[in-house]
Amino acid sequence: MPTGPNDKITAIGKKLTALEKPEIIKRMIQGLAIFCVLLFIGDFFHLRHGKFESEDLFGFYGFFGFAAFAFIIFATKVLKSIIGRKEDYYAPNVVDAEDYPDVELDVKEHGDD
Amino acid sequence: MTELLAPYFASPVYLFVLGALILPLLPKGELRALVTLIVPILSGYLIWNAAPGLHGITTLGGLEITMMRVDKLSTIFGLIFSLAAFLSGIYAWHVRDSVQQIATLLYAGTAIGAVFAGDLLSLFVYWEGTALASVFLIWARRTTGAYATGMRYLLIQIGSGVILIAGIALHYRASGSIAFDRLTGTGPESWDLGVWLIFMAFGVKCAFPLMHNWLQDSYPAATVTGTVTLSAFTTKMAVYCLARAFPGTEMLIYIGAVMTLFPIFFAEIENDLRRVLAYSLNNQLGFMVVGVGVGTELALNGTAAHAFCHILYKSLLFMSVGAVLFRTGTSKASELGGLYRTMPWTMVFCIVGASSISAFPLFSGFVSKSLILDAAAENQYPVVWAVLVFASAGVLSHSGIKIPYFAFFSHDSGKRPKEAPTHMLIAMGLTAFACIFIGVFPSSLYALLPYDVNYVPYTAGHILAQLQLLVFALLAFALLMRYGFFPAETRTINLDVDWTYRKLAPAFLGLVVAVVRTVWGELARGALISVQAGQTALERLYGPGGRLEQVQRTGAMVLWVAILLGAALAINLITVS
Repeated sequence: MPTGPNDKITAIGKKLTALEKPEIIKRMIQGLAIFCVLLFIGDFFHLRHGKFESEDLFGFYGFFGFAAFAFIIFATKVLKSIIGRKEDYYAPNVVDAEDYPDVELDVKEHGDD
Repeated sequence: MTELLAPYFASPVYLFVLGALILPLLPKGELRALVTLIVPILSGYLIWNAAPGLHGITTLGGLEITMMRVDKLSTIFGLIFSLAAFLSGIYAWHVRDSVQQIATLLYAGTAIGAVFAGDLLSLFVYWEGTALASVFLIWARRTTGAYATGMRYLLIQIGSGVILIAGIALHYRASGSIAFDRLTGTGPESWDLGVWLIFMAFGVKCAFPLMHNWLQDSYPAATVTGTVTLSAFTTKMAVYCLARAFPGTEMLIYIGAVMTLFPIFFAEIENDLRRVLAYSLNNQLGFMVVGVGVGTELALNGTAAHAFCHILYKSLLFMSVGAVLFRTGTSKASELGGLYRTMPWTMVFCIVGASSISAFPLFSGFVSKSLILDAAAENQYPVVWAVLVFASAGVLSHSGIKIPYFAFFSHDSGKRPKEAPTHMLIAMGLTAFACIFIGVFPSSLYALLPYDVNYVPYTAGHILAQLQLLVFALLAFALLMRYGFFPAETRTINLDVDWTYRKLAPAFLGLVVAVVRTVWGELARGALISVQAGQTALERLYGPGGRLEQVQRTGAMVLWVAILLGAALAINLITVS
């Protein structure tokens, strides 16, 4: 992958590049996991009075969210192998295989006037 | 003369028509752009101050026409349409293409006209108006692909109008009324063919499953600013029509549930981020349709609230991806990544839109979607409720994570685009502000809803449930990404229902043509005999004293015209694909 220079970026951008460091990523995931544990513990307080019994199960929403997300990702891998096609499959009657016309755009690099 | 015309000035539509007429007379530049801002402001002002009741009543060919029905349901849609037109006007401040400016005005105007129409005939006129005006936002891209896509879009949109007018004619014959009101009767088993056709026409524009694909085909083909405009009106106009005419139709609950479900998977594998958003739009419509299907006060409030919030956060997402397209020339995930470095403001606004659609607490989606989910639960639809919760996790995957992640983070594409122009940032900033404001102060939105609201979205239980759902899903994303299970974006497209009329039907037609050509000699002889026989039969039916000549002459004619128009549209659709 081409990697552009990082000296030509905004001040906020420079600060945010720290997020790409592997140890920071690792920490963010750990933080997320801790947050999940806290939310899980939240269920000890029985704050939810759901309309369905399943809703009141311990950590119901957490497991549901995790499983749903994982299912979607794995299912789409299969789906893509079945219905994925090259970009020019419908060409020329489709915009996907075309470039967006320049007149409509104002393509500029950071630092350009 | 003035008396004759007066009823037509009851609806704010005339402002948009006037704007569209004045605009080309002004010098090209900021003055024209100013018209696209002033008109929606005036429209919003008129709607805000309109007295509840029926205005602009007149007769046309013996039929009673109502130009302006003001009640809370039409008002909330009228207001959000005006606001959306205003925000997209700011976003499109740089556009100097008067075709797009006029199309935007007429499109917004006809959509607003439709939600205030009190009779089906006016509704039909506006229905077709939105189709005709909006297609120019696609054609304005001025490429071969956009032209063909625009044609496909127009044929389906006009087709929906043909179904609608056929339905109106048949319904009028059966009931003697063209009032645009509740058409549910005692349930679908009591519907005449006319009501069914009206229902189908609404379904096409609302992107019901299997009728949905015009949306994902056309919206990404429009211009940078055109897509933002397109995302607001047509489909929500259809949602309004369903809420007006078919509340409590149980079938809609299941149709809506399917709509929330299948686009998730398509959105997840789609490479063009603007098409991802089009699939996501389809999924959000599903929630609204479920609300209409449940049909209780809570549910209909949910539909109206969700339409309101959705128009804002969906515009915001289309604006942010549009800004990326504007600066880099592409909106494909495979070509983007790492743009936070130089487009931090666009990134922040995109995340606000993503958080709103994902329904994080303190963002607008949280206070509107929960009305629909609670209504589904309250009315004991456990499977539908579970589907909606699943779909909520799905929304996070394709709109909440995928859009901001692949555009602004992910791998570094090496692109260092300039930040979006100021007017785009202002438009995004205002829209983002609205998303957060509604999330923090839900009562401001609830006050606009069709029925009194006795609902508290921010309970500890509800916040905890929603955070569990979303944060655990986020953790799943992080882990899948970390361990390389998350699929990379590739330069591909995906087949959908449109394959049937873009590939299958033309292939089938080709086969038919070949067969016909081979046996033409024999067939021609046979055809001549059949024509003669047919002529005699038709004469017997329609000729003096014929059966169809005596009964239902007008109805039969409208039906045949509609069938012929429908057939012509279908053939055109196949040939332009």
